[in-house]
Amino acid sequence: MSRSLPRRWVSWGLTASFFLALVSGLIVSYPFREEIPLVSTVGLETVIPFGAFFRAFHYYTGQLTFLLLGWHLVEALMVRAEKRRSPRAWFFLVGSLPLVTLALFTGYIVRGDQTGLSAGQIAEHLALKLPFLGVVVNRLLFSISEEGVHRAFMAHIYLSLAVFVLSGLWHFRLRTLRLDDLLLWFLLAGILALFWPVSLEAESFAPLIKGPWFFLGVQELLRHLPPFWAGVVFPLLPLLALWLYRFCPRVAGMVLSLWLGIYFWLTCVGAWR
Amino acid sequence: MFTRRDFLKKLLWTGLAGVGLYTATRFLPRPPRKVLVKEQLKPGQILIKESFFVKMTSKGPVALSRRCPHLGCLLTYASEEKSFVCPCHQSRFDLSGRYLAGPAKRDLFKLPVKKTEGGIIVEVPS
Amino acid sequence: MCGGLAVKRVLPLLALFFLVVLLGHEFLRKRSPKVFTTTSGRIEMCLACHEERPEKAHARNVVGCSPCHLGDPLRIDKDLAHRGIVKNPADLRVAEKTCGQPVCHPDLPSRVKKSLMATNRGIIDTLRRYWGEIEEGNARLTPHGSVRGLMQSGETSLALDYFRKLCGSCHLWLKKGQYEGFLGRKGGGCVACHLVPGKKEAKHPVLTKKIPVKNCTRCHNRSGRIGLTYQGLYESEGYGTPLIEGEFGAETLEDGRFVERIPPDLHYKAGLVCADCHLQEETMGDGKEYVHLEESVEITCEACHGGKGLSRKGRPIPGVLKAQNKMLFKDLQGKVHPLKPPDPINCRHKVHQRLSCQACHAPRVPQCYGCHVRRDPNEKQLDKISGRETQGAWEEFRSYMRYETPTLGKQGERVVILVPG
Repeated sequence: MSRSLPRRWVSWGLTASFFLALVSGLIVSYPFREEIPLVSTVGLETVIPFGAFFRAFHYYTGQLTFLLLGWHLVEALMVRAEKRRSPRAWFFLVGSLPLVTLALFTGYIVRGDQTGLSAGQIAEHLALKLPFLGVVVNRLLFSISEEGVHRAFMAHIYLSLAVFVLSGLWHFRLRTLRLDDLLLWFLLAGILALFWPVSLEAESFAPLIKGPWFFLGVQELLRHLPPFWAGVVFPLLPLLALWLYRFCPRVAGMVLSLWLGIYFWLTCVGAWR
Repeated sequence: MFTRRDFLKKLLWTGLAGVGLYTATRFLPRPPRKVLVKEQLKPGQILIKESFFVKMTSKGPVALSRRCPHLGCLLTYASEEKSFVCPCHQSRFDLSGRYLAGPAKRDLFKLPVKKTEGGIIVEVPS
Repeated sequence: MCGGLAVKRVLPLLALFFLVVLLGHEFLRKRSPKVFTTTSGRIEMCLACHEERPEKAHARNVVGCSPCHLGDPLRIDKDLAHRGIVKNPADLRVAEKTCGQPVCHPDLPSRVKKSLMATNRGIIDTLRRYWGEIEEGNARLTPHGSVRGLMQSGETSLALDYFRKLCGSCHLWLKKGQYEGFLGRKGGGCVACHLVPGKKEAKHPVLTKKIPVKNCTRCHNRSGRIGLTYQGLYESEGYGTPLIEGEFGAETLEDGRFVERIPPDLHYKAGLVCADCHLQEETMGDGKEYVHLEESVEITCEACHGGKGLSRKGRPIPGVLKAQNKMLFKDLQGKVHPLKPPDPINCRHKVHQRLSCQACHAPRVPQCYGCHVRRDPNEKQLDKISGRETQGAWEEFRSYMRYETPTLGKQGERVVILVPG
């Protein structure tokens, strides 16, 4: 018998992780001073009591949110959820994925270390290559060269809050989040946070720096194709395929699988460098 | 039915959102940053600063921005190969800033340099 | 879902247990009172635990620790902070990332790696020629004719085995402290020359440009004994006399050889050290790779005495300065010496034109009589290049050593002194 809903433990795991990410984010944002981002991050790691734990916990709950959202999306496609939604609803639901990715990404920028700042610079230049909206998008999300991590920090907070509150009001009900779901994901992220320190890259003259893991594929492609095609068009392709899924699921499915295959291969090449 | 009232309401909200967006996307104006370089440079020597390189040539000091013309990463200096390398996508430039290899496809940006009493002043765009 | 109720009960308990573990972990963890930075604003958390104080040029609050010793300056957990740490940053294997960083001394590691003190090409080339392993003719740069080449290839032969076991500890690729005793004090890359002990309270040695003679003579005390003769030391016959209360009373070198005191070189007497005359292009290399010493050495007596202060290759000698029409020399300590010009009658005499300065001015050089070397194939000996004991033990003998007026010979058109070894 085929399933009619995505697995509940994935969906509620996603909600629980997202919720925990927000709460831990609230905690770590207090000692954080955006005009000295790296000093704040290192301060969290080495000076603030429980700072290292909360930073790692925030990181892992964020990563779990991203991964579980991807899994949830795949399950939704498998149970043909797009057929039961209006095109507008499907558009906004799918839209949560790029917004959560952006929230995750701006979190890296805000760290202020070599990885974060370089990633921010690249994102700024890519955003500016967007036709018409480029300048506005850059000013709302990045603008690293003008204002340091300030706007990325604002975007990080507002995007996360907006996606959580809007999907909470309209897609899931936070009141139905069960305690055991919350505790399970709290424990999972907590154990990871306690035993696996989160990366932090000092400034160096190394000839190679690697961006966040989920963007290694784009970084590799940017070495070979012009920025507009590798950094704007290519990442937007799967989004387009998802939005148009209900109209031609077979084609969209093939495009998605092909894209994922290429991206996986690009990521392996980029990671192996 | 879409009435005039609905239209005006939509116009009002769109207008307010537009104004809000306009405010949110403004920057506070800041003067360009001027950096004083006090070090005495020998001909052919490369000085590495936070956001630019300074090279002494026969025509005087030249300042090259450390921002890669590809996507803005901070360039490093590879002394054995006598070139500037971008750690993000491995674009390479020679010591006069000319593009050699990689996805950058353009030369390094030159920054305005002014000679002054204590050394040279380099203007870094914000 | 079966077992769901059990899971419901277990999770809160696990969560509670986790909180206790977290509290304990935090209590045991070491934290810092603040984020330590250098004067340029760079974060350097090493300073939170380490109190070492190097010298002013590499002051702890300006350079910090991680630009030299690597590791992770953003961490305070010992294991994470010490990942990739380097005890001797000057070791030529890591020098490009440490001393040779783009903002520090970027040109030097590649130059030093090509210098004779790192490659020992002359010793290897000459040995192989004498033992008939390579033909006579112009010396060539070969990939295995250097210390690094031998280290990486493992190539050996009779002459190379001799080199590995008796000469192979005097080069810059040797890891400082790799071997016991005086062998362990040699090598170390840049620090082979530039390191001197620091004050006890500083808990850190000091890097200096004023390289003492001792640093040079750790290696330059064999063959022609230049390091010894310069200081006025004469390697005596090893009798160790005078015997004082049954013990050997003679002065010894680090390796146990007995020495006697003789009048030192005038320059030593004046307070000059080796690095006062020998340019950095000679010692650290000028970027070109040479096979023989005579290609690399460029200082001449004439450069300072009666010359324009330029070396054989046209480079200015750093210490030479002209004041009120007189040539003076400022040594590394800052002391100024007058530069005596050559005697206008004797040195400039028509019949003395071909003579080098040393031909008259070197009154005595070591003469090693009855030089023998023996290899015992049945014994094992430490190969100082590879660090392993291999078959074949070498030993050098002499009948006796004397300090005598040198033999004269011709090098090209000049008459020079000949020193055995």
